Amino acid sequence: MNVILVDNVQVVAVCVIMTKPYFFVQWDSTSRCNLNCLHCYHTQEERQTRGVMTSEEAKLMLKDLSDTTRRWDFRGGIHFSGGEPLLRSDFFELTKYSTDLGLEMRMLSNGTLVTPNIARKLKDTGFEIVQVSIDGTKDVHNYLRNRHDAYDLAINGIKNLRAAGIQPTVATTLSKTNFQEIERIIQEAYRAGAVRIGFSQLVPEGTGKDLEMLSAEELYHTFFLLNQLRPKFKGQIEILHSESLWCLFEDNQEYAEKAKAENALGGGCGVGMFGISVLSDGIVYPCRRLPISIGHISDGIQKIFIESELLNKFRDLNNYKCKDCIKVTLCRGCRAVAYAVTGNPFAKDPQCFFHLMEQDDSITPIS
Amino acid sequence: MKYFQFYSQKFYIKLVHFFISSIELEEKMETLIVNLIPLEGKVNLTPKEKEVFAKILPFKQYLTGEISAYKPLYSSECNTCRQCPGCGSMCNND
Repeated sequence: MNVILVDNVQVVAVCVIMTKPYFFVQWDSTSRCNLNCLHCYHTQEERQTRGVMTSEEAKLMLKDLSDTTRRWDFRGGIHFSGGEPLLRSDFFELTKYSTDLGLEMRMLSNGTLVTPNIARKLKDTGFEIVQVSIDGTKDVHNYLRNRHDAYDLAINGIKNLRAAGIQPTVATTLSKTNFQEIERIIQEAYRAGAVRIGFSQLVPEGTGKDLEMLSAEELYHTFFLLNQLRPKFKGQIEILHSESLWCLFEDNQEYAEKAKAENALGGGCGVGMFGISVLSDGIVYPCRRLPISIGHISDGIQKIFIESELLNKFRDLNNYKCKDCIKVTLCRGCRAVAYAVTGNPFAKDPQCFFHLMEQDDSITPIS
Repeated sequence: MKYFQFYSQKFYIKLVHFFISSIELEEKMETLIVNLIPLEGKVNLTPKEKEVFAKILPFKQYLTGEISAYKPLYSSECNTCRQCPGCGSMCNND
């Protein structure tokens, strides 16, 4: 009887754990990379000069993340990013340590180093989802990634991940170079074994400054097309609504009004809400795409996330230029794009297309 | 004697297991009960944390028990922050 009771409790416990809020640290575990992409958060100079946290420093951060999220009664997650995280020599030591602490893990990779053996090791250390960047069909991807075999290696990486039982997710950064081939990118990602794909806005910073971002109108039409492609690919590959501006397509006014009445953030841009981004040397940004320092990881996650003046400004709707928009609590656009284009992190997202939707009768909100 | 030792050991293990289970059960029940306490009453949060989480509606709703389970923000799909793919989570159906 006791055993049955314990089993039931464990089932309840698992349900409780799965439904807890999620707080993550996205960590540039290294700024080194085996590629030299045309768009990257890092400039060439940064890659060579930015310091790297030691194994011990990294473990202190991971322990801090685990302790803090436990106390908050949240799920904690560590997202290994870079550079290319697989270039870090203690990568698997740190992933094992994270698993032992009960942290959930993700990896953001260029996929080129994911051999069958590495994929199995990733699975064995606890990875369930790994994100691989694919920025176009073969020629376009190789052009953007600045390497003639980057595409084939990344596609093989996706295949290897899938074969090892990991869910590969493809991330595509939208720019003028690739936005006209999104359907082919989706098809090829599906054929390689990806289970989902998300398209993100290009942030014109780092080496990405030289690439052309989409206009609001182009982004609107791209999102509109992606929305139409969703049912077509249903059951094959999931097309994510992965940027704040997607909320403009959704019917969520009741929730928006509730959030606005409480002057609270309801969703949208995750800055100040769900996580922080830590660079390889420990400097902390609100988001990896928003290069404004809010402290050093040695200050402690709790102190930075709770006390940062900038994060608290992001949590006050009155600070936003788009504060009067009915969607502000659920959207706020991309703060990183706003900052990169205007120099003001509270400016309106220049790619916001809400005004275009209001003139368009063909849109049916998603409920 | 051997049999006696074996069974007494087994009984002892079961007894310890029972106590651990009882403690676990109590902890889990506490977790469930704690979720019904308003944000102000959460003993595991500092006053500043309460202030911040009150500004993040989905966290507030979860912590105060207004929603019994933390739900994606306004879509049935994303489980975290909708920063994906920026955040790397992209955790649909997690």
